[in-house]
Amino acid sequence: MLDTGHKLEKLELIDINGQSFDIANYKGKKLAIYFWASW
Amino acid sequence: MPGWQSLAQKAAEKNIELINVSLDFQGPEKVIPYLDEYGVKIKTFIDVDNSSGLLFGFKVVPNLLIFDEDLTLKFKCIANINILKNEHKLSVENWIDTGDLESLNNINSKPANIPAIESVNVLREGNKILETGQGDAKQLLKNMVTDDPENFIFRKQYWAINNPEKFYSGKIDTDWQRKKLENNED
Repeated sequence: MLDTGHKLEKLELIDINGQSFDIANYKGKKLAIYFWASW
Repeated sequence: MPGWQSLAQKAAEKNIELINVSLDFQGPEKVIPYLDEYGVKIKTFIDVDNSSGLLFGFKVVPNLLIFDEDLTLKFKCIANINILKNEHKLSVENWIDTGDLESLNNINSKPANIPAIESVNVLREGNKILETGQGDAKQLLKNMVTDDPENFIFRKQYWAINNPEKFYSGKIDTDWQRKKLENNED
């Protein structure tokens, strides 16, 4: 499990077009992620 | 969601990225109508196999994670974060303005709760079932709820796939969900 103080190396998700995207591509910016659901 | 949206503009001015991740096994088809209805313009990604739940240790949503420029995780709040609550919104705004996480750290996170490692592979099988139409995605989700009854990410998605009218026909029927929980129904 990734906890505070540790680096995110990779997290593969998909965008709304169904294309794969690795959240690690946001390296270089501060990043805030809000996890939610449409249900 | 609208609360998060309003913070994104402020964050962009500070070169900070605010993104959404929707946990939805059924993919973009279920997420896009919600984004359209609420006019959500922030970059949104979809987790179709609960990789993020496994990686960060959560079985519920909503959650908020904050990373530094080198992707070091600086803040994790599991559940108990409500961006519509003024106090929480102000804390996020304060972080955007100053980089200070102190007021966010005053929000009580639920403890981390890691789903079973194999759950990601099971959900990937489910993604294939949905794609090919071959197999029983409902039974797959039912089995996951049986194996991990405290996992509300699995439970709610099981409810949603079996009762789409309670989730995808306008307002989500939260009374119906509450009764299911009170009656201890799957």
